[in-house]
Amino acid sequence: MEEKTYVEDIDRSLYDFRNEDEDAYKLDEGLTKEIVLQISKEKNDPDWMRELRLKSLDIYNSLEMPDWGPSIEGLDMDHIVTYVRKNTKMAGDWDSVPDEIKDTFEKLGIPEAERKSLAGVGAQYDSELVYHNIREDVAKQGVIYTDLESAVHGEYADMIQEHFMHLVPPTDHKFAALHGAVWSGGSFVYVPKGVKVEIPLQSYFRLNAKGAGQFEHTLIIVDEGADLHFIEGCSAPKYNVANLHAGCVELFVAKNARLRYSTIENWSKNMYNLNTKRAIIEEGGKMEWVSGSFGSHVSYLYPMTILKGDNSKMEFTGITFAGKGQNLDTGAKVVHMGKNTSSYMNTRSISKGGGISTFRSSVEVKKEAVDSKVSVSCSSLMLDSISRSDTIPAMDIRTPRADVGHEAQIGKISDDEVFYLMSRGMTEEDAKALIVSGFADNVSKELPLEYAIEMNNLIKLEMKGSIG
Amino acid sequence: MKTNILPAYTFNRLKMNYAEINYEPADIKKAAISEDSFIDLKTAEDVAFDIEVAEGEERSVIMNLASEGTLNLSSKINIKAGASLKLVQVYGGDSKGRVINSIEGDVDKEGKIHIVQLLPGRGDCYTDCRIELKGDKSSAYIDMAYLTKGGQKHDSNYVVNHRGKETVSDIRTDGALKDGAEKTMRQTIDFKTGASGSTGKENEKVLLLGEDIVNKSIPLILCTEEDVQGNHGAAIGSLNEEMLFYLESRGISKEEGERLMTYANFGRLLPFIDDEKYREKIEELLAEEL
Amino acid sequence: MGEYLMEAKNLHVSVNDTEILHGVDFAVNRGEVHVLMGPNGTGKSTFGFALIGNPKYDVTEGSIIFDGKDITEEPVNDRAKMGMFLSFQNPIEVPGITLSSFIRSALEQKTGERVKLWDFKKKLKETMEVLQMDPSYAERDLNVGFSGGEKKKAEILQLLMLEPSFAILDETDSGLDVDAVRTVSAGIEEYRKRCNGGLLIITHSTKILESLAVDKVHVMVEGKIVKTGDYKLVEEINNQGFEQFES
Repeated sequence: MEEKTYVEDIDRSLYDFRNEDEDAYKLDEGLTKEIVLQISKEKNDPDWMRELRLKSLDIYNSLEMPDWGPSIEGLDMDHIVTYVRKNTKMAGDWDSVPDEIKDTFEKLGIPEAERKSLAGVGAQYDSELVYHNIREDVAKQGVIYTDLESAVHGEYADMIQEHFMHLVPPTDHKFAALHGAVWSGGSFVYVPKGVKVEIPLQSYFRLNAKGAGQFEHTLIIVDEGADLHFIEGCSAPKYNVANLHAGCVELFVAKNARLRYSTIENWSKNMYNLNTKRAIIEEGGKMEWVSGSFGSHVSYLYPMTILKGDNSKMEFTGITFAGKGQNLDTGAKVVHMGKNTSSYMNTRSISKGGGISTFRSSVEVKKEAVDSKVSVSCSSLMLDSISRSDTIPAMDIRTPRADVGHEAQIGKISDDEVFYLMSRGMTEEDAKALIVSGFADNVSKELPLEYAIEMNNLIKLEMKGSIG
Repeated sequence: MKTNILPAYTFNRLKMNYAEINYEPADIKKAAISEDSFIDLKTAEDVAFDIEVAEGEERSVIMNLASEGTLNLSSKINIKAGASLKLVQVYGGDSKGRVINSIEGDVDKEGKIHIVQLLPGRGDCYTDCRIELKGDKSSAYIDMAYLTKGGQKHDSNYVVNHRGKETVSDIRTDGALKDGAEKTMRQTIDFKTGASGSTGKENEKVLLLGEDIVNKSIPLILCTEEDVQGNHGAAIGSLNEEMLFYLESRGISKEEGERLMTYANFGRLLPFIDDEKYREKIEELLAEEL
Repeated sequence: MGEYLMEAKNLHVSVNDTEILHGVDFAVNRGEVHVLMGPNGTGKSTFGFALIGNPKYDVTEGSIIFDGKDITEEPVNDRAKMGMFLSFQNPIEVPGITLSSFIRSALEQKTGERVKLWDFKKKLKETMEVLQMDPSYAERDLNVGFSGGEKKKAEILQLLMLEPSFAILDETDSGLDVDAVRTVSAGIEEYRKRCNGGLLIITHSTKILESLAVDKVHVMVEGKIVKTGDYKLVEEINNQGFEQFES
């Protein structure tokens, strides 16, 4: 199946024309109605989608930038349209990919063909084939796994319309609104009632060779009693010339169903990763998040779970590694609405080389959420005194029939542990890398083996400071 | 006035970043405290105290915050090297009254500050406390017990900034919320670069005793120094089934068990009140309120 | 009616819809020491919990009569006030309440009157000495960080301070623990000095009964009392185990 993105199809001259003729005021606004309409036209949007894009644009223009969290000054908001336009330059060439990226591929042992795809400069023949085969296997079970853009037009159009940006509305925040206006690409997965998908579905196969994954929208619906594990991303750095990622993930878990959503994110270190992920869980449903954040220059990432149905559960396991030049603001949010709901968060964070890691969470237990149980545990490791690690957890409990436990700790690598490993022949560097890998085991043990290995390799590289 | 500001904000939507109080301070009366004192603040007013403890000295100050209207109190504390201050504050005013209490403290090398606060459910309580552990080996201990009843506002903010080496902090707030009570508790431990060898602990325990409660808790740990140990724990909830059964098997009803636990939070702090007569008075007050 | 201190008649008890006790008859008088023995998992502890009124244990048939009053429907804290006591094998930690204030409160609930602090503290100290219990434990949070042995002592301390008219000591786990056996034995001796109550000791092994004058021994197998006898029964069990009673 041919990868299709709108950006290739937009006539470049359209933008050039605009640059000359638009007056200064309009240019300052950045993204204009005309551009959004053009995007909509190129994608052949149904009316409702076009309306949504336009409404999102209005909301985008009316909302303020966030006044908390890492600075996003490096984002060129005045010329936001250039992010859209820049994509047309995505048919780049291997020579212009930064050396540090190429080096990392080398060190992680990423094969040639994959490298080009990850760098957004080539098609992925191998994975295209694999992807195609996987699709056939699960299709036999009635599972739908396709790109979202075509799904909007296909037989699932109604289902998409019912769900698209209902969980994360454009009003949520400025970048959700931006997403609503210019979203492009992404996956749609539907698992029918009672179907257990044995193998994890991986978005890696859906990697768009032209690098337009920055406004990607993922929509997953797991129907009653079904079971799915979806893996997003990979540990190899994903390089993109345009440095904004404003994606959106909406997950719907029906009654007694289970969804595990694993992410290893390693966007290149020039990226602003402003992603919004949200799941809503019905009665008896279970949501498991496994999240490793290694890349990006700046990240705002707080997967949110709404425990709507009684007896629903959520587990969040995460690791964040902030190295030199990185400011990663990550965490999780949960809202308990149903009775007898439970949430469990276990996060770890590592700060090194001047990196800033912030754990930011919010736990809300509504008045009706009686007999709910919450357990949050976050550990932070400081590897030197030029880095920063902040823990900002917030809890809002409105029923007395709740059992909420929260603990956090911060410290450094134990000298005793390092000494012990060195007394067994390891160098100090290797010892620390091993200890940090061990520290990240809350996540690595939840991942399929090849991902866990990749993640550990990534940690080793980060520890040795060999990734720029 | 805007007060009780969090050193690092959380999501705005939660409305926990600071407190807005409908009050403007007027004519502030200033006074200095230079010896062990018992300070009885019975009338509504704006008061500011300067407490300086000289090198090597030990000071003990008890403040009875018993205003009937609004008491706006601020204390600026300076603890010199090797000195220590124990500050006991009891928010024992009229149940319609309001206490706005702010404490700013600087602690020098090997100095120690111990703040003991009892909030037995009498009126609105706002507490904004910030301690700078400037000198090496300085320490800050904060012990606070509270009972918040329905209709009462309780908003607290405790911040300890670790600047010197081997500094120690321990913040402990234990309390209970009755029907209709609302409470916001902010605790912050901030390890600045250079505070190597320091340890900071913050702990919160809340017993939820009634319906319609609103419990907001924000325990922050901020850190830019590698060689530290920071810990935080919070336990929020009601008596669990197993505990209840154990108590009942000894004839202690749920209500009695809850009363015992609520009292125990205060009981633990009573030994810190040196003034025997005053302590007895507080015991009576507690028996009345709980 | 009114003859026995504690009586169970045709007691059927279920947990989570599974019946554990299938019609147990039992009676004890003031001043008597009874022992309930049997193989593990046979319902002995269940019997103790049912008597004290643990809500997890459903009495589906039969009745429990205490001091002439049918208490089958009574909640646990009322039974405790009436004078029943169950010592737990692994009592839960209750942070926020000291051992001393806990016992004092229980006493006040029982008598309905305020307890004079000085007298109370004196009696508490003396009782702790009998049990060779470190006096500092009085001001520690109930069971928090207590070792197994200390927890046992704290339970027996409560027995002695509350002076219930009927006490159930579930010693199923104590078995061969020398210290636990010593504590419980000392406790029982002191209890019998202080009040003429009835005692039911639930145990799996006989070690704990060695220095005790036992009035009646009951053997429970698979949720039913299959034999009742005197101390000689204990010797039989020592020699031949429980197989002879199993069907």
